Amino acid sequence: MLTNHKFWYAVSGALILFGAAGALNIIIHGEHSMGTSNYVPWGALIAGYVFFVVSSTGLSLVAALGHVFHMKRFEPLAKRAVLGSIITLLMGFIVIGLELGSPFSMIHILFSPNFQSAIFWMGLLYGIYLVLLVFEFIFLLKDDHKKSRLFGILVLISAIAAHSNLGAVFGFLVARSYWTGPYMSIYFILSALLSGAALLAFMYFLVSKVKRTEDMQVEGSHIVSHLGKLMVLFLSITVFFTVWKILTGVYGAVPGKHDGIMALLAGPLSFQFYFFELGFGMIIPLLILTLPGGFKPARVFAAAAFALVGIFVMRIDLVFAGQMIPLEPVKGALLPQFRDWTITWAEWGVMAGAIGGAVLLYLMGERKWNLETAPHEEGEDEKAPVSVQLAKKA
Amino acid sequence: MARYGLLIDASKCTGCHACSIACSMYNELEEEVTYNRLEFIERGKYPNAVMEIVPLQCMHCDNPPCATVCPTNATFKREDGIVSIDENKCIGCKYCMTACPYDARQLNESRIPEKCRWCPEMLEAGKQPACSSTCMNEVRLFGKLDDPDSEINKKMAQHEVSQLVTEKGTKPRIYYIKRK
Ligand code: SF4
Repeated sequence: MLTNHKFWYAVSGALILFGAAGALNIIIHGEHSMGTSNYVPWGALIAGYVFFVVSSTGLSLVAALGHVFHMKRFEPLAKRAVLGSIITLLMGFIVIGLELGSPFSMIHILFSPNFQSAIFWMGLLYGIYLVLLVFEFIFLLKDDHKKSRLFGILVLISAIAAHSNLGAVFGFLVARSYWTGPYMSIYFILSALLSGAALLAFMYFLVSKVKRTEDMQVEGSHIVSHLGKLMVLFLSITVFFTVWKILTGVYGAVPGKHDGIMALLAGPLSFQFYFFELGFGMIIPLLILTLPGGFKPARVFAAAAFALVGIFVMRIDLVFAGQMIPLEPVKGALLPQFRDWTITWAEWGVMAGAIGGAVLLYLMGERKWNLETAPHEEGEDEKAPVSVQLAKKA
Repeated sequence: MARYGLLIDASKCTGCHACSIACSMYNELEEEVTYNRLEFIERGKYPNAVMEIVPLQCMHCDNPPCATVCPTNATFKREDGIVSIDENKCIGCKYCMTACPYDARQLNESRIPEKCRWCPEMLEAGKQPACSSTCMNEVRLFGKLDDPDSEINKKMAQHEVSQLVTEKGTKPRIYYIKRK
């Protein structure tokens, strides 16, 4: 079933329909159809947006391993990773577009920019990143290694700039000590690596099954195994970051920060934190991968699937733990222990629809373009792989 | 250009909510929406318990984080110190809402994070903002901080005053008379 094209078209179609219904609901009913409030202004769609753009950054970063840093085993990934990166970024834009109250006023970012605003820089940097990604993809398709590598380097720089700045969107918020500081920028970049490796392993496993060519099957399973090894590294980094975030939060009692951490450890977020963020996102994939035989493609695929769900919940936790602790401008005032928030069906719909959209666009991309990558041999930049030559002859 | 500020004597507040209602009426707000609210603090234990009330609203900060984070300068500081909003420029990102340490912002029906603007039309007409002029106990004294002869300055000279959340560097324009 998972290896059948039609199955994926049907799934993406259904998700897109659900997404369209959710989007329509938000467009018509505005904030009423979202689980936000005046006290928890950023809702699940912010988490969804972060999830998609983190995926995009992660895909570019992992693509760069082969394509920019010439790690041979990752070279064949480039086109699929860059295509995935463009698609997930576009889906992220759709999700944030629906979260924004007046997305069409975005034009004022050009005419009345505030250079002190991290959201201004977010718009600018992700815009530049998208353009560079498109160029990189075009030159990759042409198997023009020199130019695509040049753009690969630029994409790498812009991805790190844009994505660490996204961390700073949170980190600059002096009012919310759960987020304040440089941690977010660093954490966003490092957790992007995990997202990228997991998503690529997930994609590559399926592509190698759907594309029944022998080349692809052999190459695909090799790459998936290598990605599994990368995942172990990135999972460990994520565990490291999570442990220190928790310990520094529990230590002392910084208002807002400590309570946010406690909401995760022993409060309303604890189930999703332990079960999904830690369990699905870190422990289960680490176990799957590190027990003997862990790098077999099917095992890596399973680990990647768990990790992706965990990473999604990680974003939800991040967005809400930062807001659900009431601000206390008047010390000692009677306040609820936690601010309420929910995720409405419309918000689930939009996020599901964006996943459907990503799957559909990716399938169309696989159909339209040859996404096998030619080997990068020095001085042989123009040499196309056998499959491309055969395709051209045909 | 005047430098406006507000002095609040919270010890006189009876909790009647007239300020909130005046605000809602003046700004034609939806039911239960207001740009100023009352916070309640319980002090002591029965039978010696007391309830303190603290009026809270946008502080018209001199270093307003809401304006710093606004990507399009839709939130801006006027010369007279009022922190105002150009709703046409607002993209609805709600960054100002997350940035404000006072929870002063309220999303309106057009998905614009609104807040107190100190009733600029009233000020132009030489009157006090709606909340100040309504309060029966004169809890709220609005005035010009740069005029040494203004009522607000005279009263501030007579009392010890404090401000809220100064540790976040917002430099609020609202002062509270310290309780005895
Ligand atoms: S109180 Fe809040 S909304 Fe008002 S100026 Fe300060 S940061 Fe902005």
